[in-house]
Amino acid sequence: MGISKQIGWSQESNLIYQIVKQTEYINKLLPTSQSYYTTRVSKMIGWSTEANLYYEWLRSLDRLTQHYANCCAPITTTTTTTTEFVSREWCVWSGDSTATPPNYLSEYSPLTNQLTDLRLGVNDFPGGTEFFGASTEFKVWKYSASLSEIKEWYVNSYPASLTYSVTTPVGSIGPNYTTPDAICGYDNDYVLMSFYNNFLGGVFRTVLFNVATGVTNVNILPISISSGMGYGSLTIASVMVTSTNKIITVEQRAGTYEWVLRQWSLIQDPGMGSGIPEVQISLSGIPLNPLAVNNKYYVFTYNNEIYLGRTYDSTLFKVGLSYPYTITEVIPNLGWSQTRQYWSSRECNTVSFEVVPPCATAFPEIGGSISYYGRTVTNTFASGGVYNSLDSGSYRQTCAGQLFKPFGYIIFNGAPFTYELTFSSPINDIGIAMAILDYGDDFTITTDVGDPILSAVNPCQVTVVGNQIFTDSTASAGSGSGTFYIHTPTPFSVLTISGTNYGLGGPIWFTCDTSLPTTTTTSSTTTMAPPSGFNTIYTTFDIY
Amino acid sequence: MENNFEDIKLKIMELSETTPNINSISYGFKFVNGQQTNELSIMYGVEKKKPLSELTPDEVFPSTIDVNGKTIKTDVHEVGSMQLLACNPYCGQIAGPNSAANRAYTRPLKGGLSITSTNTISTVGTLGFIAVHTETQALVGVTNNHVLIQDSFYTSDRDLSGIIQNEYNPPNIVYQDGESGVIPPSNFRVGQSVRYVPLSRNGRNFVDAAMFSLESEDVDINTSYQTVGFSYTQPLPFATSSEINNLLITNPMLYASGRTTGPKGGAGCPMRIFSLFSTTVLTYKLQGVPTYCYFLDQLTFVKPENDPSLSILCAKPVWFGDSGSALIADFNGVRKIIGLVFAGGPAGGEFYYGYANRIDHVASDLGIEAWDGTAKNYIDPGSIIYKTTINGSSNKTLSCEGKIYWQVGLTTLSSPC
Repeated sequence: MGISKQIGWSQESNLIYQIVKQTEYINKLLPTSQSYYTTRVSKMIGWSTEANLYYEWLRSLDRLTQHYANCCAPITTTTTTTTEFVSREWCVWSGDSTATPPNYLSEYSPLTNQLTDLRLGVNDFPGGTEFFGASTEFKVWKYSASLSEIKEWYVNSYPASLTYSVTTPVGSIGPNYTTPDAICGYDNDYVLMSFYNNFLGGVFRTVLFNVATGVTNVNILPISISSGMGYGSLTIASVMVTSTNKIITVEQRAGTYEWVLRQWSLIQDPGMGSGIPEVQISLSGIPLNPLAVNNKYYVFTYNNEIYLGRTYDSTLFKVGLSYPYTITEVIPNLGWSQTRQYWSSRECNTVSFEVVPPCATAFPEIGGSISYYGRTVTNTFASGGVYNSLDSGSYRQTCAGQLFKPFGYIIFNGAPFTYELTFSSPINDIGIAMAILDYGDDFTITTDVGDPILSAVNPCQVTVVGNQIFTDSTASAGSGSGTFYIHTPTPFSVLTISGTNYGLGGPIWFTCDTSLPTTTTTSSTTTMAPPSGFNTIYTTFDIY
Repeated sequence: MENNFEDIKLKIMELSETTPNINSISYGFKFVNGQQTNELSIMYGVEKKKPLSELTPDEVFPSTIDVNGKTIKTDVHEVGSMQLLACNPYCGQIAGPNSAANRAYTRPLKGGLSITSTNTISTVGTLGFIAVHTETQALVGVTNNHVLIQDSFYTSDRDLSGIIQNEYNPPNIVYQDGESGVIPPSNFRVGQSVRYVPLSRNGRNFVDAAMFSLESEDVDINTSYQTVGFSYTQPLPFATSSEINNLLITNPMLYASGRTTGPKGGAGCPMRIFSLFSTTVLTYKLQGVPTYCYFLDQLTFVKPENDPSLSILCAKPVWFGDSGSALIADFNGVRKIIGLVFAGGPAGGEFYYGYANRIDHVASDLGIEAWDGTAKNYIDPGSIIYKTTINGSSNKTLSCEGKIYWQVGLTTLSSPC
């Protein structure tokens, strides 16, 4: 239609513009092969902006009128189709990704466990071609990795019938990124595709692919939802986009091979160029069946709940939307194909996981006490750069989400310092968080029962080595941070933190949740070398 | 014949550096209509085969190649054409019950066990085998660079204003098992990385290999030369260069035992050599940035469905975590180490090809020899000393006061020779 929005339009013009675009959108859903479109509306020279917009609207409506009057069905059918989909009960699609001919696509009802098959006929992929599925309110797609093609069908009616639309080749999005491993519907033009790196385990790139044009538009939404060798993921088995602007993935982590369900914000972060991880739920409690040909979980929504379908036996699980995100088996062993997959349309993905609210407890001020998990915790020694703070607030991690600083936290600032806590009754596990760390900061943690075992969750530019926490050389202007869990096999009563803090103050506090995320990661290690006088180092050794 | 092999190897190196749009070049049996023939060929590995009509003249590979007067046919091999087949599901299973022993905390040590290190704590690989450091006659563990070393590039390839890393300070401790993802308790320590073969960003690389010290209490000279999951109990010598060059002709049964896919090889899970002298490109982290590295003269191995025919291949001859495992061949009842597994060839989300460094390159580049099971020395980690040279260097070693020092990264320390 060629209409574009102008700066300085009146509110009325803007509203009309929206109406025109909506009508234009409906028009695009019509078959493109029919050539009945001849404008029956005239345009006058010298019209106002509003008049021109009304003209475009009328043209678009005229096309709709012609289409339904001359070739297809009454206009009321169009209205009914849209309404039916939005209000209908089923939003979940399913397919057997390696079935031999004839291929089917099915609507799936978790309520009745029924599959309603739709034969796709000659326009489908050849039999046995493994595929990934995706859909929106108006379209269904199948992607074949072996053929590198996406096929598109229009969703016509309910119970659904499909009309074949187009087949589009999918190319590489860059060196080593040749094969997507999961797709989902983003809107009626784009599918979201995650490409894994063929050589670097744990590195993914996520892009939007325009099915009509075949353009992989990395720049529209360059969300890197998983990256970093070692602490990234080997496989993204399933992905969905929600109407609440979240991306939910099922991934297998590199290094640990643990399957996790993760939620990411769908807000492009200018500082990172990536989605922000918000929720991570371990699937260790529902292990895959090792005999399955296609070891995966598929995530989908239905009736405002989030479900996981497990391959091999098609067991269905419901995942709680709020912390601790309890996973419940709802339909055991449907006994379907080992390779059956599920997905839901974005318009139906109306729910997402509740992000755990920030939660923290301040360390006791110098010489003071606090209550922590039924214990009295007292600061029994402090020396050097230890300070009380009367501040609070959130801290945005450079590589992860938000950390919440409680009121009255302790700051380590200056070198060297020692800060000792005594617990009224012994404890095995505590969680602490630190923020605003710089290159050169280091922290050594000891207890009265020996050196503890440290692990890090969402560390940004910091590294755990033994019982020490170091900042990486990339940390500057307070960009280092992380949550750290301290564990001793024998409960400890005295915890001592000593070290050095350069630059900005380093706040430290208790996290209030010790039932920690089940997966811990650490960032890559760097040395603590000062930033000058670089040499190549050579070593040799002797025997004993 | 040996000279001919060297000529073929040199020709493959030449072709790999001058042929665009290929994934690899190697030497193996030619395939016709999907069936393996008995004719050896130079094999171009491409992402997707195209009809001649769609190729520009520059993209058409020659049908034959002259190698020092001898004509060798070529073959074009499509990586992405494999299908997932109903192969033995327990053979190559990812972290399944078959490989549980590989991931378990195990003393005394054996080849095939999972390991990690302080500097690579969030990843895990495999202890390939225990060998002898020739100069000191000390026992050492052998695995890949990328299993233990955070950045194995020559310091001359590094940016002096970038991340400054080395494997000396803090000490890069090696742990077994390597499964936790965090620094484990002290009883998991089995040694410390002492040498690696630096990688070159622009040059030719032959091995991805590192060695680490061992403690005598973790080694049993009667069993530690064995490999997890195999009943074969004898020490494993290294295959000679001649035995490796003739692998396509002798076509021995192969064995490997990695952290993730466990023991493979033998009648229930056969593995064979697919091609020799293979070239491939892999990415390694150079100061945190994924960087291409060019590898030459590699072994390519596969899991055939209908052994010994290679016409139909099974997935997962190797998987993430198997890096560093030994590739072993059975020469008429005597098993020998022929390679160090370090990479997989991907196709549609699966690996169908495993890549291994030749053991003759590993031995010469690291300065090691096979362990015959006799008593040997042990490296004293407290004896490790260092010397420095100004800025980056492309020298793998430094000779100083009668001792040979090995490059282990960048530092701000200063101790010139």
